[in-house]
Amino acid sequence: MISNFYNYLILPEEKGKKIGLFRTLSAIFGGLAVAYLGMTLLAFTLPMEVKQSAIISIMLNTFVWAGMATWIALSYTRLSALLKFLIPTIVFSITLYILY
Amino acid sequence: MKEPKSKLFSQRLFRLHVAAGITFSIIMYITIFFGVFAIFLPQIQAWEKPSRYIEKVDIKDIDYNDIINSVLKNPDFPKDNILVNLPGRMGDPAVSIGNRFVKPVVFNPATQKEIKDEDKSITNLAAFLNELHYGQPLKLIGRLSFGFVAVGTMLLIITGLILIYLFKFKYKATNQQATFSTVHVKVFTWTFIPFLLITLSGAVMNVGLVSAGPMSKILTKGEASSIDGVVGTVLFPQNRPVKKENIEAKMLPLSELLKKAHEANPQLTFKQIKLLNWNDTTARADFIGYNPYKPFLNGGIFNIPYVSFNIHTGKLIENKKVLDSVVPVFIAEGIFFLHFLFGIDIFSRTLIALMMAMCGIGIGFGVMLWLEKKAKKFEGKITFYHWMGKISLATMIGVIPATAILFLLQWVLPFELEDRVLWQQGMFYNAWLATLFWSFYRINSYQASKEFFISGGILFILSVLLHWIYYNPTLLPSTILSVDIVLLFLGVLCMFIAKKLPKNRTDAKIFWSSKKRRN
Repeated sequence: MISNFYNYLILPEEKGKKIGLFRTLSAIFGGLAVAYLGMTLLAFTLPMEVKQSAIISIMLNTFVWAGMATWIALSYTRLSALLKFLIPTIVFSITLYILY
Repeated sequence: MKEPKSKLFSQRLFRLHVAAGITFSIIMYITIFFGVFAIFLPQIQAWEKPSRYIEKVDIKDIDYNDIINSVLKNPDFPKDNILVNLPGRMGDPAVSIGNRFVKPVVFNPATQKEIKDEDKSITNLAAFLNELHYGQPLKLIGRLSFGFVAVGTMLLIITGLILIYLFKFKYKATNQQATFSTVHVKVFTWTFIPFLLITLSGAVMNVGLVSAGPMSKILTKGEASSIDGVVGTVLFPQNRPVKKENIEAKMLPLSELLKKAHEANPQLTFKQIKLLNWNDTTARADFIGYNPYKPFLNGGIFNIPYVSFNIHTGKLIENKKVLDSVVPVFIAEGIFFLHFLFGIDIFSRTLIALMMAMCGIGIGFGVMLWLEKKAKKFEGKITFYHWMGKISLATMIGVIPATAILFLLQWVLPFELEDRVLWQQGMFYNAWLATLFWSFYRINSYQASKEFFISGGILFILSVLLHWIYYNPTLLPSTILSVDIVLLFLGVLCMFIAKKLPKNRTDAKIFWSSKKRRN
C-alpha cells in the first residue's frame, strides 16, 4: 500500500497531456501556502519598516501565488510537486515562528 | 515507454495553459468587456445625467465661498472635513460639496445655482457597468471569484510567456487554426505588460486585501487584525486634525488660493479641495491634484500630491509633491496606475481602453482556437455543437446586445418611473440570459453571432437617436455629444462586423485563411 503510493508519487506520468487532480490541488493550495508565508517572511526581512515592506508583500502576493502554482504544477514527478509545496511551507513557518 | 523530461515539461506547460485558459476565459472576458466601459466611467456618468448637460467653466473663476456658505446654512450639513469636487474631476462639469457622511450637494458653476442631482435610485448606468466589471452584483462571492480569475490570469500570462519563449510560433497563417493562434499570440506579446499590471492590481483588490488578515496579524505580532492597521499610515496618510480656536474669522476666496496653489506647484491639475475648520482662524484648505508629468508615480489611489493653505491668513502650510513619498508607495502606485486612471485625460484613457479591448479579442481568439481543435474531430460528420462554444458565444458576443439594451433603456424609461434602475438592470440580465437561450437554440453559431452583432449595433444606434430626440444634439456640450458619437460609431462597427463575418463553417474556413486562398 505505502510502496504503491510511493511509486505513484515518484514515477512521472507517461504523458503530460493531463495535469491531474493531485498536481492541481498541490498547485492551488501549495502555491497559496508558499506564496503567503514567503511574502510574510519577505516583509520581515526587507531592510525597511514593516509598515512599508508590508505594502510590497501585499502588492505582489497574488502574483507570487500564480508563479508558485505554475512552478509546482510543472514538476517532473508528483513527489517533487509535493516537496516543492511542503519544504518551503515548513521552512517559512518555522522561521516565522522564530521571528514572531 | 517514457517521454523525455523536456517533452513532458512542454506538454504539461501547454496543457496547463489550455486548461486554465478555458476555466478562466469567460469571467476574464466579462471583466475586460465591462472594464473597457468602466475606463470611460466619467464620460458615461456625465452622459447619463441630464442635469450635467452644462458648459465647462474655468475652475479659477468660481466663487466657492458663496457656494459653501449657502450649503452650510443647512444646519444638518457637517461643518468639518468638507470636500469640494472641482468641475472636471471624474468628468463631472458641476461643483459638488460633500462630506464622507452626507449626500453631496451639486451646483452649476456658471450660475452658482443648486442642481437637482439624479442619485443612484434614478440613474446608475456607469456605476453599474463598473460593478459588473469587478463582480459586485454577486457581492463578496462575485468579488472573490473575479479575484481568483485574476490570479488564474496571471498564471496564464506566466505560462503563455514561457510558451512564446520556448516555441517558435510561425506567423504564417494558412488555415483558421493558425490564424486564431497567430492573433492570440500576437495580441498578448504586445500587450502583456499593461495586461499584467491591470490584472495584478485587480487581484490585489479582490483577493489580496481581503485575505491579508493573517499576514497583518503575524507582521504586527498580533496587534493589527486587518491590513489597514499595518500599512494604512503609509498608503493613506491622514493629516492630524487641527484644534479649533473658536475665533470666527473671515475666509479668503478659495479661487484666489487656488491661483496661489497653482503658483506653488504649477505642474498640478487640481481636482478637489478639502476644508478643515471652516470659518475659524485655523481654517485649512488642501488643494488636491494630479501631476500629469509623472504618470505611474501618481494618479492611482495612494500617492496624492496637494498644496495646503491657511484660508484665513493665506499662508502656505504644506506643499506635498509627487516625489515626497517612500519607495513602496511608488511600487503600489505603479501597479495601480493603469487600473484607476484618476484624473487622467481622455487620450490616455482611450489608448488603454483600446489596448484592453485588444486583450479581450485575444482571449476570444484563444477560446476559438480551442473550439476549432475540438471541431476538427467532427469534421464532415456532424455539425459541431459544444456547450463551451455556446456559453462563450452568449457571454462574449451576447453581452453586446445586452449592454446595448442597458444604454437604450437609459432613455426609454422615463426618469420619474419608480424602481427605474431595477427595471433597467433586470431587463439587461434577462436580455443577456436570452442570448444564452438563443445560442443554444441556433444550431449554427455563426448565424447567432451575426444576429447578436446586428441587434447590438441597432440598439446602440437607437439609444443615441433616442437621446437626440429628447435632447437637441446641437445644444449638447461637446463632451456629452462625443459620447453619443462614440456610441454611434460602436453601433455602426457592430453592424459592419455582422455583415463581414462568415455565415457558416465552410465560409469561415475561407474567411480566416491566408489571402492567397481567398483570391
